[in-house]
Amino acid sequence: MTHVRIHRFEKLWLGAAFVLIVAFIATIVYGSLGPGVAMVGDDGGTVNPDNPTAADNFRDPGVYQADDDSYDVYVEARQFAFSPGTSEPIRVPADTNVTFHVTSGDVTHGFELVGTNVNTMVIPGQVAQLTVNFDEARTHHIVCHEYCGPAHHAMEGSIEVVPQSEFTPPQQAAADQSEVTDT
Amino acid sequence: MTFIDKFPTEAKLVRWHFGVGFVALAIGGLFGLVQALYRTGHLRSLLPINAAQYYTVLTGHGVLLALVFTTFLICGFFVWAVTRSLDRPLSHPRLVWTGFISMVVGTTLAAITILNGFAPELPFGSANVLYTFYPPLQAHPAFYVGAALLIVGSWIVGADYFLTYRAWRADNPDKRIPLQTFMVLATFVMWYLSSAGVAVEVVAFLIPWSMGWISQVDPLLTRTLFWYFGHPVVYFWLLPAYLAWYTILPKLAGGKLFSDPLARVVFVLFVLLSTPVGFHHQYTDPGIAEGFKFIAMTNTFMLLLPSLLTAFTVVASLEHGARQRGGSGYIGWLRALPWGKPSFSAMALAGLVFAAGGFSGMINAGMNINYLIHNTIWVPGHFHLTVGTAFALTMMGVAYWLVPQITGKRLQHRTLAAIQPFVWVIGMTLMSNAMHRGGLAGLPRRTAKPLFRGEGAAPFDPVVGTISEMQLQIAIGGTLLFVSLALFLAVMVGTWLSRPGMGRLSVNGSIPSALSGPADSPRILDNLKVWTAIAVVLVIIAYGLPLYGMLADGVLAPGSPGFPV
Amino acid sequence: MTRLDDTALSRRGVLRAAAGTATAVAAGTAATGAAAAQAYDGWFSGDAKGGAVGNYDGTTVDRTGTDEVTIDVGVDANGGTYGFGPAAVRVDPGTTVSFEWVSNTHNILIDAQPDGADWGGHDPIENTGFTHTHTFDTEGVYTYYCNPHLTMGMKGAIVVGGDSGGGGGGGSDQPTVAADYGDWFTKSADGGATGNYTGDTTDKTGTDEVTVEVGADANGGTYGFGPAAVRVDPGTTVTFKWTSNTHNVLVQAQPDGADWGGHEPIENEGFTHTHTFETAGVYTYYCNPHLTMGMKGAIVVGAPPSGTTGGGGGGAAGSSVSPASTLWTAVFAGAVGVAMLVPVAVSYYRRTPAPDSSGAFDYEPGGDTDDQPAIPEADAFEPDTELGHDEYDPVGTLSIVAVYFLILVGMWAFTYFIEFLGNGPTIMG
Repeated sequence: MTHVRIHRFEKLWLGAAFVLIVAFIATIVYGSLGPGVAMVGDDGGTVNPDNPTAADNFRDPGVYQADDDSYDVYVEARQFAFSPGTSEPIRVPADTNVTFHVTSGDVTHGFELVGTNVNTMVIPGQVAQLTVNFDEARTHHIVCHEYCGPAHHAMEGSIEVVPQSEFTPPQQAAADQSEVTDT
Repeated sequence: MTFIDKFPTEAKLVRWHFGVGFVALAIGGLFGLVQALYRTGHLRSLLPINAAQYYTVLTGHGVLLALVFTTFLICGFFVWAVTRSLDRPLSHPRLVWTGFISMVVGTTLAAITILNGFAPELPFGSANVLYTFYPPLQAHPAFYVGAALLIVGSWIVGADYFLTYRAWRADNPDKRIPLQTFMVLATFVMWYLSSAGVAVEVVAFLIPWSMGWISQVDPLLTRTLFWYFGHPVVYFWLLPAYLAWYTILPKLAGGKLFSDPLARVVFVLFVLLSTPVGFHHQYTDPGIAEGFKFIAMTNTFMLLLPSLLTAFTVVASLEHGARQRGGSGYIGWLRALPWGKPSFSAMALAGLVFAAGGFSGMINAGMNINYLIHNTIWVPGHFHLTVGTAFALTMMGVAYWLVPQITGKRLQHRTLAAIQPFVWVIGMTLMSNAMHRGGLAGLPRRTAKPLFRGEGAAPFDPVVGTISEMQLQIAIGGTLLFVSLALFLAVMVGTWLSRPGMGRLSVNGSIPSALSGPADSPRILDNLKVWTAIAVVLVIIAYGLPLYGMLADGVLAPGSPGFPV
Repeated sequence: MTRLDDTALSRRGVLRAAAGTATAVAAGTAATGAAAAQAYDGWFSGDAKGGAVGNYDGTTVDRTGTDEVTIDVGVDANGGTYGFGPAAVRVDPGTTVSFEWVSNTHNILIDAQPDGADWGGHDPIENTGFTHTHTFDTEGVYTYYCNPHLTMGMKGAIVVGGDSGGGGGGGSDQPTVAADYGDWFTKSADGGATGNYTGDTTDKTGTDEVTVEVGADANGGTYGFGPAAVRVDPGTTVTFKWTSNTHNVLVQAQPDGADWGGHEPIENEGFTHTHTFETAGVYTYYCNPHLTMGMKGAIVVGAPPSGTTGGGGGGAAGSSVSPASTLWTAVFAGAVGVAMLVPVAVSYYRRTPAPDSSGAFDYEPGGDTDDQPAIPEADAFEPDTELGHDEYDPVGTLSIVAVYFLILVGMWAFTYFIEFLGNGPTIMG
């Protein structure tokens, strides 16, 4: 078998390229081990897009308290609003573990908190599960970044992170869908 | 002997492919200008579209440029490359014509559905689904049929490359495959393996679903099948550019290809690694476990290797040419290169811009850092540097050199041609840098009016610069790109309208042999069967388990009905 | 801000504003204050917040006289399921209105309501099957909208009170014209019986642009006017739009002083003919080639006699493409076209070889035959100095890639550690 004649400079560059590749992969591994960045995975499970709350991995949209310092937020994305998020802001306390469970009731959407790394796809039939800890009390703007129809650019919402002292735990009976009369 | 004299049938095939491709380029480029002006709000009120129709324009821009322009140019270019390097005519030109017609019919069908967004009186329905056409958004079935015909047409064209090679091999049992043909075959092996994914998605799922024969499809599964194809397609675009940089560019620089064997190694690496990386477009998708995303990430970073090697080999070949022309010094030799020649400058500048685009691609590939820029306008910033410049500008450079040879006509308006690549690069620099920085500030992509809410730019807070300055750069950059495109089209149309036989061509079609030839490399490199087999195994490893998981809970479940748009 | 945005491509300009004002004034002088507010102050147009409302045709549906009224939320309109059905409705004070969701992702937010009214709307987003009710006691005009679909034009209005009969048409300066066509649509008159005349006159009052289809499917082919009989306000511009081939519009009869000439030449699909009908009265017309098939039509200009529902104000003005912007677009497009054609024209001109061009000949592909030579190429490049494989060390390349390597490392470190890790909250699990 003929040996490939490689110029010594090119061999040098080949070595440098390998170093670069390994260094990049190492940085990413560091990111997941050190600061603990995790990718959105399949832990959210699947749901029926027509009726997401039927299974127990998705509840009526809203904020729920799981225990002392963790909360669950169930968000349903539709054309062209986040529920909750658009007509009323999502309110969560700072310095707690907030786990978002996001699914879609119709087409594929996106869910991103502008200016942060909270960024996921929202696919009907799948629940995107992501845990975030907000250390600063401020308002974040939610934007849908995946084309979902003619008013896609208007689809947005907000999330208010309030200091723990100012936060009132949500009523568990929120978003009662059977409500008929309203004044 | 000029190509058109030696191989008139093949020259005609190339002309037709290029012609259709350039028409798609013109329309798609115009749509791009409309988009840039609409989205950035500059002159928005002068544009005859509304916000919903922006997405029609966007679909047209993506489909015509990323799918139609590319495929036609590549198929035509490869007809030339195979014919020239094997020095024999195609064995079944009728096959290529059949494939060409299939691609044209498919393009027409898809184009009509897209144009429905402006003119609902047209037949079929609309297809405002963008070029990724993710379900549950649903287009009229004619759109999907058109896409299928386009892909299948390219398969048919490709078959003749292999048949011609087989005929040549029968006459030349011991020779190494000439480099250009080797590159063509390697690209198409990768293309057959990868486009199978989108073909399955469209034929088995989207066409029946849009026709109403099945009531739902699994959005995650179809998305995964798309991206199974969606990453390797960028190499389908890139490898022809590499073919030009490896084999034509050194000759234009006045030199020789530095290393033929390394070029073969690069293409083999692409055959192996292009497809099992698709999940890096789905890093933030729910329903796919982190482990599979990690495998995709490591494979993707391995793909850096052939591109970095290409950088070295191509620049070394240019340096060789420069020094042969009398250049000297560590960097000073750059000035000895023929920057006034449009075919040279287009390809060389494209390569330079690709180096920048490669970096933003590395960021995209970085699994967790992908959160920073996923679906922001950084991503179009990246791919306008890669397919938008490395591919498109290179092909323009190829056109300047090749069109005279396939038509027998001298290139017209040489001054316009000479400045065109520079205008392109200036426009692209403005537009793309603003897109990258805008993405870091969180500006979303695929959005008609990113500052809609009237809070203005309040939610988007760039560290350096302001949103309005970025929008302005995108508008100006996009306009310059359109001007550059207009220059290119003027040169092409002008050349097409002129007469052949008006004098000696100012290009020469011969390609010198490499400094380090194929004899210096192991024969196994040429054994595409082995590499294909390994590629298939790698794909099974990367995709087998995740696809099984998606199919196991129901091929069509969890499923969504269509949302026509 | 939203001049062009979110509207269908319609040209509503000065004409609409003038005609709209005319009918609004005519309606307003005759009716009570509440009725005069039916102009809705442009609420349904694209000039108010949100997009233009495609399913508001200028009429306010009269639901007075009943104390339970239903409005559907999320009807097919505005490019999707983005409409209130009906968009504008009039009810008596004390009526309970039931808002029933017929599609998903809607809410009801109040834009404006009369002083003292206490309707809260319904803020949370709801889906199909949900119902919201409210009893409207306070008289006046209530305007409301659905938040996620505001840009698509999902807006509504409720008028509580005001006189229930003859809506906008009771004024003394508004002529009333009965829709009496005699035997025009039967076969006793000229031509065949008009199969697509149902006996009703389609009410298109309250809007100043009306379209009549020419060549609609009817009468055994495409031999109908759609609608066959229509009532419009004086000053309305009617656009006759050909939707199939071989038709014309000939006037059978029109009121004294009217000057409509119809359109005599035979035209095909795509042609349009417009006329502004000022004079009140009944106009009858027909298509000559298809008269025997029954292709006849009628237009009644003027308000109906009392007892029928009147029209609303002219508030449906859509956002207009300003004449200035279309001019600029045309100029720009023209300039680009000319600029691109100039080099092309020059090349075409150059098809004729100059007398002294060397080597020019008539060429057919095929190469070197006895009759004609092949196309000559430039000579291959011969370098001054030839650099062989063993004597060439690409030092320049090494320097360049070394710099590139350093740039990559630096940019990566910056982007990863500063941009990414410094970018606020990140997904941890």
